Amino acid sequence: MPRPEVSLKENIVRAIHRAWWDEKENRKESSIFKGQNISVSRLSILSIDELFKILHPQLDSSPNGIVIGLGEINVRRLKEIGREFVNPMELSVEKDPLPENPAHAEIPQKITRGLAKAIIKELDFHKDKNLDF
Amino acid sequence: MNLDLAFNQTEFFPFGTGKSTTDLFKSQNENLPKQNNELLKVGTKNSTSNDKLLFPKELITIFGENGKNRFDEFKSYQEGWYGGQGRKISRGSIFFLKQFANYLPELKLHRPSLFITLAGNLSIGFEDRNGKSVEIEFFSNKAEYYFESLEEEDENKLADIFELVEKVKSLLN
Repeated sequence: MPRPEVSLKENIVRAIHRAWWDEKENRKESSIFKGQNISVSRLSILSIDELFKILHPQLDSSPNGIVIGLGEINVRRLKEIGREFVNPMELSVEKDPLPENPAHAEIPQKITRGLAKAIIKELDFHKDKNLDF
Repeated sequence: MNLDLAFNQTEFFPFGTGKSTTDLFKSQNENLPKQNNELLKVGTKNSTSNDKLLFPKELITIFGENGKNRFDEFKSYQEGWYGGQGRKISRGSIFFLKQFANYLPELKLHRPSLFITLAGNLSIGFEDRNGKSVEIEFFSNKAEYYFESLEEEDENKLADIFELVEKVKSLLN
């Protein structure tokens, strides 16, 4: 049974690991969005600060191997980027609440490296203010 | 790692050297045991730690202190980083990147960034001469790339490393 889609009006965020963000050169790597069944979180359910509290224990693995930020994008804009890409793709964001993260959702399509880069360009970045940069 | 594959590729004469790719790659690989000593000495079956992995000097020249610091961080990532999905750094990936970088010293001018993917592969990112994004992920036997200016996304086998080098050179110069 297909999962219900997240509203076009909603904004979602993707956790960004330090491995994929070179802060000195301000470059991001496509791993942020490349792949299939990409996990995202809905800001209509939880706030940025609440999500950091959930995502750090889940995804941090060492003192430096940590989530350092969240990348935010509107669902409608995400779908537009997919359609406008050189190899157009119909993207969707499906609700997938988890016990540990009720805001969890997934993008089921397989996102290529190039499409991921196009999405990353349009993300609004939120650094974790509680981290010592 | 099947380096024999690399010797069987179609020959051409890159970089105005007058040497064929086969000659260049063979001469490069004659030094492999020595060059890779630092990688191989920790690559035994009994070794589970990457602590002794060193960032090759040739790569420090290109990626600078920032790249070295990021490499040192990446090698500390254990199996399962990023919520169980991440793999430990791949020695084959380091080798492929080193081979690639040996032929592109001018890459230094573009201040490339070093990343690690969930597969444990090193990936590099920089902008070409038109400010467009270039990203290359180095597997142990192939490289996957994206060239924004060409809207091209594909892969090259390690055996075809010179084709990749030539493509990137054409974007830099």
